[in-house]
Amino acid sequence: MIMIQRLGLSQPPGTGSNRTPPRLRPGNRATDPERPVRQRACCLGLMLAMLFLGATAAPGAGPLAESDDFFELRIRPLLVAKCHSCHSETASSGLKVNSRQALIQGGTLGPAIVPGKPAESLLIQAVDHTHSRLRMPLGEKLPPQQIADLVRWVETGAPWPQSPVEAPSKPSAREFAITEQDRRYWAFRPVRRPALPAVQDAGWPRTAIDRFILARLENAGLRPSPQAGRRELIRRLSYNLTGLPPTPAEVDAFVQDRSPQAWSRLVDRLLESPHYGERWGRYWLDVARYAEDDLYGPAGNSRYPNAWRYRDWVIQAFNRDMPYDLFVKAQIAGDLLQRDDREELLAATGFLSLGVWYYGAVQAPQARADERFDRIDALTRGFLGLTVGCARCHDHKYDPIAFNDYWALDGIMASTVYREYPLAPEETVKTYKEHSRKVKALEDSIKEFLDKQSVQLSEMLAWKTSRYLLATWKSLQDPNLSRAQLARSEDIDPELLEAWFTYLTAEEKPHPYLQGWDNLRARGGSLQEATRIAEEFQALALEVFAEKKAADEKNHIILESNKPKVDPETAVYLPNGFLVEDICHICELTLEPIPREKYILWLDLFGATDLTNSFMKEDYGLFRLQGDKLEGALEGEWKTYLTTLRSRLERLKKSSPPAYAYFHGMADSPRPGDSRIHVRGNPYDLGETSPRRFPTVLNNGRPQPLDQGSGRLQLAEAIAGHPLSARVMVNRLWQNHFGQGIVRTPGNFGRLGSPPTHPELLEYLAHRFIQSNYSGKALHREILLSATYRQSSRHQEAAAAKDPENRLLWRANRRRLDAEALRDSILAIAGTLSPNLGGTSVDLSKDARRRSVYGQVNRSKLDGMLALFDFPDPSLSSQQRAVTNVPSQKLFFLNSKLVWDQAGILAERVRGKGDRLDGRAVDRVYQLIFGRQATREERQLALNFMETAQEENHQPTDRLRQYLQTLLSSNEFLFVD
Amino acid sequence: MSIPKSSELAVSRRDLLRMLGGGFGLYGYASLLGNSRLGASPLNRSTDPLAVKAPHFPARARRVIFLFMNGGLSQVDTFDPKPRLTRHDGQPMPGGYVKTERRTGNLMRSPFRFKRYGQSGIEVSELFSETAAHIDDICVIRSMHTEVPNHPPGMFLMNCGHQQPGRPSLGSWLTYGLGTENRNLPGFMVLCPSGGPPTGGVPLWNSAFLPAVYQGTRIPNDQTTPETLIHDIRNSHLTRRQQRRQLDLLDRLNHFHRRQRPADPQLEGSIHSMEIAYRMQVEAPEVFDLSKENPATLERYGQSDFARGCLMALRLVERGVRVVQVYFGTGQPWDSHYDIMAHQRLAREADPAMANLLQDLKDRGLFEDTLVICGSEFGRTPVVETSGGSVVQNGRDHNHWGFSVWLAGAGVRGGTTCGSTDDFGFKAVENKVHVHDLHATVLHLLGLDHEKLTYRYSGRDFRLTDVHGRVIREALA
Repeated sequence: MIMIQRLGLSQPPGTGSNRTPPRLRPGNRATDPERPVRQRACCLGLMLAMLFLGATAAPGAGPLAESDDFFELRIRPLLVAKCHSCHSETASSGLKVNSRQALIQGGTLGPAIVPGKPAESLLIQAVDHTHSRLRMPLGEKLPPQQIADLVRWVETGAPWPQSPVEAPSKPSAREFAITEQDRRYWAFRPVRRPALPAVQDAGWPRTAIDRFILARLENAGLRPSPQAGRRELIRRLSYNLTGLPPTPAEVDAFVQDRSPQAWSRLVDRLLESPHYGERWGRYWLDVARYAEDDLYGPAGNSRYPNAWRYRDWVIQAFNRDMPYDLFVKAQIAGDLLQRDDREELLAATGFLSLGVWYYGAVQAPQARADERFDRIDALTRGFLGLTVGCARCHDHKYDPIAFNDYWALDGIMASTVYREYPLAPEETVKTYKEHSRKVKALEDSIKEFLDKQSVQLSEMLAWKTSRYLLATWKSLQDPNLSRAQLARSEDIDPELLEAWFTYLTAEEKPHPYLQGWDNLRARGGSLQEATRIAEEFQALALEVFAEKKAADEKNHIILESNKPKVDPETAVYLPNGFLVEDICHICELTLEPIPREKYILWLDLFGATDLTNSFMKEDYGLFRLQGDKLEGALEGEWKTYLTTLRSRLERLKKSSPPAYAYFHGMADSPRPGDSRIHVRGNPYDLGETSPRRFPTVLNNGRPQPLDQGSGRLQLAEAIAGHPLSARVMVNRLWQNHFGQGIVRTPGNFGRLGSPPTHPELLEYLAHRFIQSNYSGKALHREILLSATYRQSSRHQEAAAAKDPENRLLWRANRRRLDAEALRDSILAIAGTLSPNLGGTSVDLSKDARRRSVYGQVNRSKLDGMLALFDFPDPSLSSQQRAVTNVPSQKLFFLNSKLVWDQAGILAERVRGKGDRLDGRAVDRVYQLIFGRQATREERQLALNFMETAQEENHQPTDRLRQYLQTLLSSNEFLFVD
Repeated sequence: MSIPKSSELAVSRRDLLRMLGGGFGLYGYASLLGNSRLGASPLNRSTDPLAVKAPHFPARARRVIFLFMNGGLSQVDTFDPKPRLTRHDGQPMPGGYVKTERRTGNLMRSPFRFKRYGQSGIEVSELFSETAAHIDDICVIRSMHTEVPNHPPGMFLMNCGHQQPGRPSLGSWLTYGLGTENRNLPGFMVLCPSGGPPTGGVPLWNSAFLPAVYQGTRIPNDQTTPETLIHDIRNSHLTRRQQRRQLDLLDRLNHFHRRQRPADPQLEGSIHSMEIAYRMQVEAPEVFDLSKENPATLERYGQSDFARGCLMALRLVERGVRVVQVYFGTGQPWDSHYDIMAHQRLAREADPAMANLLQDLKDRGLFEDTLVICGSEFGRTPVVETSGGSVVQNGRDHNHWGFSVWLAGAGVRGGTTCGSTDDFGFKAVENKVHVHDLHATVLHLLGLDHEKLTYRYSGRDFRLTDVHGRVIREALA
């Protein structure tokens, strides 16, 4: 029973439905499938159009008839300037406007012109905006004069005089032709083993790789650099293979190992280190645009709690030296591979399933097409070094990739669906889901119960509205009266009275219903008048409450009867249970409104969330009690009921089974099929079907259909077996050893990519890679054993003048530590880095133990430190990291908690007995941080620093800490020679 | 790929270091740094990507302030008066229903009064009466249109020139093209309360495939202490003197290191950055410390987050920051689906802040070379929204067919309007301006040709305006 006394309610309320008004929230999702999408002008088309215009501007082919004149001066330039970009060789909607015949033939909507009949001509309707849908050209409507010209031209039979220049005619998208030259492009040819080039200096090369490098250097009149020092080499190699600095003991051992096998032993040891996979797996994760969340989702930002299993799979694949062809196939079609270790390979399709999902951010056809674009883009740039995504709207402008080729791949992606693969028995999954459902149901009923009570209570309280007005009136008349006292005498709630007092004395009110009250206050009327106004206002409040309740009841029926019907058989789910078919159905309904001013009054008195307030914060009316205030009003059975529900919920939560593990993976759709081309990329303008196949130019001969299931497995086989696949990967490995690839555009081996600096070497490496059954470690080894890799990074004036970018590799490239190596090194040097491998992701801003590769990677908010040091945007496949040296990075060294904390821990680690920092301690520090001993000068500097700091009377450790922080901020630490 | 070339200016490194060591004011120093001897090295770009670069042609504006009314400012209630809308209040829209995001009903007049302002007599509603006092210096583009009536794609298009996230922001393109004048502060700052980002989030000011250095730096303008404003800006353990001693030591260490590694611009760049960071610790907190302003100034702007944002924007451009974007608030505050009266409350915060920003730019001599842009991702319908979310039908739906944006300041033809919507303010009809056109115009005012400011990525040259965009000549002085 509600405790009426305390709230001063003496009059029982009328009974009635206690249904809570439906809480409506605006959805971001939209529904209109007919939304026009602005079409894109194609760049090449425009250029051609311009050329053509130039040509027609100077006809000079004899005198023109009057109609010819009119056409050449008014019509042709207009068609060229306004229509050709989409309607010449590209033929948007099947229409070309470069001949009379083409116009009469028209496009998908029928003839564009009917000579002599402008009103019936689509062209005229489109430019005049009299057609129901067509509005041409895109952008601004033509000026009236030009429209009149076109009308006149069609009216006079659309004469098309012979032009001195024929309109260019290139094969349309459908007839996209691949020439022999296209097929012979270097990147598409089979991998062959090149002959080793002859070199003059036979003494320098250690491996075949060196022959290729030296031959080009000699050709350019350059000499390779001498070998780097041993300390430099071990530091370079450790960072390169593991992302960690060598320990002083490791440095010593290597420096003292005088055997000829010292280097190869070091290479082998580091390749076998489990930290190798952490380093090189992360390089791949950049390409795979690995992330653990998305910006959108059913409840805003969505998370992928098991994404790390894909990350760990990648790391292990590197550590185990998984053959690269399998690595490729697993990520595209791990779920379809018939192998004993299929279970493990399920994680690999995270490459596809953890790509960007747009959920309901835009209309479904657009969002799904954009998602598939993400997969195709990551897949083709990542594995094939081809920018197939360029062919989404038109034939690729530079590479022999047809518009159809893109949509052929789209069909494969469209035939693939998101699937979670539980790593627990079916029974466990069922139990867990069942349990979660129960918890949710119980939580909902508690909320519903409280809402109901709150609404009911607000209605009861409304019957005392006049008392709150009168008490406020009295308080205004006699400011000396205690309002608590007044509340007691009026039998109302003192806290509520305070709220009412504030409300009633506000200068401005958002509704007109208190104008009488405000006037009364202004002129100071009598108690009698005040009583009348108060009673009238109460009557109004009750009326509004009833009116709103009646409207809500009607709306409830509208909403319930318009609930979207979802067929579980055909429904497609994205992660987080997002139903593809789910749309903002509320957006399409019209509910029963109540007048605005009454609604505002309702909000002020009885409202729940204020929907007129665009800030969307929870806001409640004066009588709509919440929380403790509401629960304080519950008594007896009501209170017992609530307590019972709550304790049941608590018990239920305690007995929750742990969340089961699963892979975010992919599976074939039960209804695979080909995609229809999206004309100019527009998901609402579908053209003919494009059968699923591998891009035409990449096939030997006629492309075979990829139509077993989704076609994904066949696609995976095709990619893994293509020469590009090996070329692209060896180039990535090379890039991460030297800082630059042989092809410096690792994601673009097409004509607009940069050509290889050492084409023969690339072939050689690809050949070796395939020969070794795609062993990454074998290739690493071959590269690392070369003299090329072991060169010094020192500057040489003459060589720098000839080859400033070091394209020919006359020296090693000095490289800044990347974000992960930087953070991990600081922790490693301080001795706080955890050697543990794998597992759930940590928040790097809070954790100071785990390697950075185990940090959360969020598209919604990238870790600050990672972002500061050029970690790539994980929404896009990243082929190479930017390297910057900006001031805000230096603030990290100067002021961050991480550097200061770790410098403190390191100080503890190196501090000898007593507080003195002697020469030997300085050496120890130098060995830890730089892998070498300090020079005499540096020792002296250290001691001076400690002494001057001492003068200032600091704690000894503090001085040491400042010193160490400075060393960690130095260039020698940040750059690897 | 086209990066504006910087002209050569012979300043030796020694000169440069002397200036740094001598406490030479760093404002204006950047151009020296950018054009120093290092400019000859091909690697200079990676060393000093923010050095001031020459524009393609003489620029009218040197800085930009973009005031963003996220959520969707209603044009017919602010800058686009429609007498016929008033006359047809409550009637169906002649010519039929135009599709927007949600279900809508009949025409709804604006509850706000319009008045003529200034010499130009341009009409503005009472919501922006203070801003309207500057109307003779403002160009209202009344014929804006965009692609879709949804917030995220609208936000991305207006900020990054593309409907989906993953393209560089306008501010990123500008700092990429021009560098920045004050190297003690980031070149592109984004002010938005700490409660959360505007709809669309961080990718709105991302550099995407441009180097990360061009990314916007987000400053939570509801915060008042420097520590919460800029990451790691303060050192809570060391005195300035101790830190200076550390830097002196570091200078020696780096000197030893560099002695054996000559001619590496990366190492030099790293050393310069450290010196700048050291100074940033003083300058950056000072910029955001609004208590340094006259209390009367604070009073004029108002007490809102947006007001603080406008005042910070003023102080930032005063110090040579290239691009400052001020979001009105978290999420999409101007999204008045249910009750257009919500605009009144929002405008009470927006109007005085904007008006005073314009005034102070003028008073401080910055108006001549600062471009101020004010707009939102789309406009609102002149018809009432009746969709199911609307329990009271007094609001307006999203409208991508037509809306208003205004420009003021450097190179802008003040006291003019550009283009128009139909009689009811629904669709842009005359002299239509697409978002790409607005971007082309902004770049133009900053001396950049939107077709030449490109970046090679993924096999092609990307532009802010993709393959679109035309400069709105009518808006230029």
